Amino acid sequence: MFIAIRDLRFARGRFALLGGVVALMTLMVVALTGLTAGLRAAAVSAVDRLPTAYLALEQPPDGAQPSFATSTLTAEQVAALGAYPLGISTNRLAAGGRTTAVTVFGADAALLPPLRRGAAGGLALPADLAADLGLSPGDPVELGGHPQTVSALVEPVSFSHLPVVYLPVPAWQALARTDTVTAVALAAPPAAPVPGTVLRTRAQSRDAVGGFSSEQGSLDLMRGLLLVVSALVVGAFFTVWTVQRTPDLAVVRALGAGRAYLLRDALGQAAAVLLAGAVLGGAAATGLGLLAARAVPYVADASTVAPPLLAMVGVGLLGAVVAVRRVAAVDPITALGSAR
Amino acid sequence: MGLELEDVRVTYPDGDRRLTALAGVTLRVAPGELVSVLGPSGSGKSSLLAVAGLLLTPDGGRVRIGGVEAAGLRGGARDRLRRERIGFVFQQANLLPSLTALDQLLLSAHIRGESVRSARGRAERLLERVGLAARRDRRPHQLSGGERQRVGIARALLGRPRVLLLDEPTSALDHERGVDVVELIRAVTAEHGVASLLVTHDQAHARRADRAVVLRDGGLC
Ligand SMILES: Nc1ncnc2c1ncn2[C@@H]1O[C@H](COP(=O)(O)OP(=O)(O)O)[C@@H](O)[C@H]1O
Ligand SMILES: [Mg+2]
Repeated sequence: MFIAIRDLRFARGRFALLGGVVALMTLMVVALTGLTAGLRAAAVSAVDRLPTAYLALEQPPDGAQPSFATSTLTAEQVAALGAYPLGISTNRLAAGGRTTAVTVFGADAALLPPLRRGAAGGLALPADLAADLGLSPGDPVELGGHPQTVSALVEPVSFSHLPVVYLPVPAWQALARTDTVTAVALAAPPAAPVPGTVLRTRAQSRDAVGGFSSEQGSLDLMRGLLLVVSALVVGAFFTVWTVQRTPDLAVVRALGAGRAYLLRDALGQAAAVLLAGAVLGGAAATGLGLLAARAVPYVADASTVAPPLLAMVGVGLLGAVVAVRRVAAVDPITALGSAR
Repeated sequence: MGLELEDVRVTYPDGDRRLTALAGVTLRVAPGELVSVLGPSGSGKSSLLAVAGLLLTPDGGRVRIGGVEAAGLRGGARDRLRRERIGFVFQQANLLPSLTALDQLLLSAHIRGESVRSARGRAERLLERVGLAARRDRRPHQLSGGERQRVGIARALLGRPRVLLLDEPTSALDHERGVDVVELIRAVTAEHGVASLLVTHDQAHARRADRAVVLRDGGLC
C-alpha cells in the first residue's frame, strides 16, 4: 500500500469523485433494501409471525397460483386438515369518529402474535393502531359495521399493507357472512393429502399475498441493477487509472517489485476507496432511513444495512480486480529505452 | 564479481526472420568501475542494459551479477536478484508522480521488504550526498530535470546494489547539467564500490568514465 496511499493523497480529487459515486450508489442500494424490507413486513409480517410451519389453501383451477384473496376452504376440508382454521378479510374499523382499513384475521388464540395487554378470546388490536386511535381493552369499536369490544392488544403485524386485527373464527365468519374459512395453519403436513387443497410452507405462502412477489421482485431487480452498474463504474475507473499509470508501474517492476506487490497495492487502493465510499453512503442511508421510517414502511437495522453495504464493496472489488489484473502484465522492460 | 557478460546474444522477431540486436557481447565491469557504452541509435545499447538488468533473457551467453549466475533464473528468483543486486537509473528518471523525493527512495526499500523506518536515515543521507537534502519533500513536478536524475541515482543506490545500470541519464539535460550528473555517477560508483554501466550517446560524457566501449550493430568495437 506504499504507493496506493500516496496516490490517494496526490490524486485526491479523482478518488474523492469515485468515492462519492460509490457513496451515492451505496445510499441507493441501502435505502432500497430498507424499503424492500419495510414493504415485505407491511405485506406479509402477519404470515411470517404465524407459529405454524405450513399453510393449506384452496387449490386454484388449472395451474394458477393459490391466493389468499380467492381461497376458501369448507368445513369438511378444515376438519380433514385438522388444525387452526384461518379467515382473512378486509374491513373498516371505526372508533371515536375515526375510520381506518384493517385486515381481519379470524383465528384461534394459538395463532395470535404475543399479547401485550388484555386477554385473548375477543377482538385483539395491534398495539400501535390502538395507541393511534386511543383505544384500550374494554373500549367499544365498530368493525365492518358490527359493534365489538376490544379485548386485547397484541404486537403489531400487518398483511397486504394493512394492520391486522384478530377475531375468534366464529366471530370472523359472522362478520364475513360465510361458513367457510380462507386457509388452515398447520404445524405439520396432513397425514393424507386433502382434495381441493394445496400445502405451502410459511415462506412459500407469502407468494399467495396479492402483489407480494411482483413488488419484491421489482425492488430486487432495481437493487441488482444498481450493483451491476456499480461494478461497471468502479471497473471503468480503475481500468482508466491503471492504463494511465502503466509506465510508472513498469518502473516499479524494474525496481524489483513482483506482480503480487503491484496487485496488492492496486487492490488495497480500490478496497480503501470502496470501503470509505460505502461506509459514508451506508451512514447517510441509515440516517435518512430512520427519518423515512416515520412516514413509509422502512426497516433500518443491521440486517438492511450491512448486507447491501458489503455487497457494494464486494461487487466494486470484483470490478476493480478485473481492471487491475492488467498490472500483472506490465513489462518492466518498457521502463528502459525510449522516452515516454 | 561486479557485472560479467559473456558472449551475450539477443535477437528480436522481425517478420519471419530474427533481428540480431546483440551478436555475442563480452563485457566485464569491476566493482567501483564506471564503464560507458557509446553507440548510435539502434546499436543495441538498451538491449544490453535490459540483459544486464535481468529484464530480458538473452538467447545465448552468460550474465553474472555480483558473482551470481542469472542464466537459469526465472520469474520470482530473477525479480529477487534484480531487487537485491541491481540499481537502475532511467532515461527520464522515471520517478512516480505522487511520491516525494524521499518517498521515491523509501519505495525502493519497501519493495525490497526492508522496513521503511529503518531505511529512512540512509535515504536522507543519500539525498544529502546527491545535493538534495533541501528538496526531499518535493514531488517530481517540483524538481528540475537534473534534480530528478539525482533522485533517481540516490534511489538506485539505496538498496546497496552490486551493479548500477544507467540508461542515457543525461539525454534530457543540457550539457553542463549532464556533466554534473556524470561526475556524480563517477563519484558514487567509487564510493559505493558498485559496478556501473552508463549508456550515453554523448562522447564527452563517455570519456569521463573509467573506460568507454563502443557498440555498433550489436557488437563491441
Ligand atoms: N522489442 C523489440 N522488438 C523488435 N526489435 C527490437 C525491439 N527492441 C529493440 N529492437 C531492435 O533491436 C535493435 C537494437 O535496439 P536497442 O537495443 O533499443 O538499441 P539502442 O538502445 O542502441 O537504440 C534495433 O534495431 C531495434 O530496432
Ligand atoms: Mg535505447
